[in-house]
Amino acid sequence: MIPVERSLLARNDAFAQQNRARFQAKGILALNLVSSPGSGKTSLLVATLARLEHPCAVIEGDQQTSLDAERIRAAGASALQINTGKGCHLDAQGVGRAAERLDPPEGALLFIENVGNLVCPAAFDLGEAHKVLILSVTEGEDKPLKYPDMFAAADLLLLNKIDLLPHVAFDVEACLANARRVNPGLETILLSARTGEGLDVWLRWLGQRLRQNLGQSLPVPASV
Amino acid sequence: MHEVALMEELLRIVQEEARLAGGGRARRVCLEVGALAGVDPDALRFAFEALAPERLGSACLDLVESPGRAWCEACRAEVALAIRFDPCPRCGAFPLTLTGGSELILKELELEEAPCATPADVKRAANPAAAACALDA
Repeated sequence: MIPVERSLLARNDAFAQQNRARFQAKGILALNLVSSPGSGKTSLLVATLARLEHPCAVIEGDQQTSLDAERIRAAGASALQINTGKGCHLDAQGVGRAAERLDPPEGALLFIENVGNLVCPAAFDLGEAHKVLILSVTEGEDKPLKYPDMFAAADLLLLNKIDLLPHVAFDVEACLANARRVNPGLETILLSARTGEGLDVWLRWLGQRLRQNLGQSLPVPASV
Repeated sequence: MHEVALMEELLRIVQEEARLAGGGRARRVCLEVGALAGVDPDALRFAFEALAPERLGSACLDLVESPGRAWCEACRAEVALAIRFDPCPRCGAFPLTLTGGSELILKELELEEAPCATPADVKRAANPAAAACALDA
């Protein structure tokens, strides 16, 4: 027997570190957006891009089609689609290649919209600064307990579609309590990409992170 | 579902290690899978059965499951942990610090003795990488 002792995630982690170093060298703030399918990730991105006066680029991950990249480009940001085909998640090598092709300007905000899946993307570091998890109120408040790995890996939870709260049996407090159980340090913002409610708070969060990332005072987006 | 992607990576590492060791074909692959690694051992076995024959021939998978362990600050002790974000089974405190069970590691590899590159071997090798292995030897 030959002793090997090699982790199956080591190669992805090495590519992720390479991405992280490249992003840092260019002052790029990379956010990995994760959620289940249909949480409203792309709608939220479109609404965010419409109000954010800051250079942005988007990497779109989907199993098939370039529909999401087209929606993002229509919103005025540069976007590149990665089709994962049989794969259920983005990996660091693919994201590195896409970032190279997109070549966001120095200090840009790079959104990486992961494949809609609350399981697999938790294990694959892409080199992002933060994982941002989007959950919608049309899902169950027990999602944090059912998919704890993803909630534990995230730094921010965006609870989307709150305009639908009067019409669905969704217990916001129970959801947030469940999320904090697996991740006591998780920040949370309630919003609606459709009505714009709560978007200000999310934009402020982005502004703070951009400032921290550049280590200097950036002009605050005019709309914040 | 990412078990297939992980298996692809396992097979890539196995082929790389086999080349480094002189080009023998893998006979047995020993993989350690932690109970809290977020993967399903049966899905990994299934992925091995589906993907390995073409790349490794008749190699078999020896999957060793390691238990979940965590440090409880309140108990000042290491405790068994069945589910990653569960509270301490002794005192109910959480969060705990994970100390074991997240492994996903190729532990050991057994190669066939002194591979010989007969034309039949090369023909049997299902892909160019495997054929190259046999020829290198």
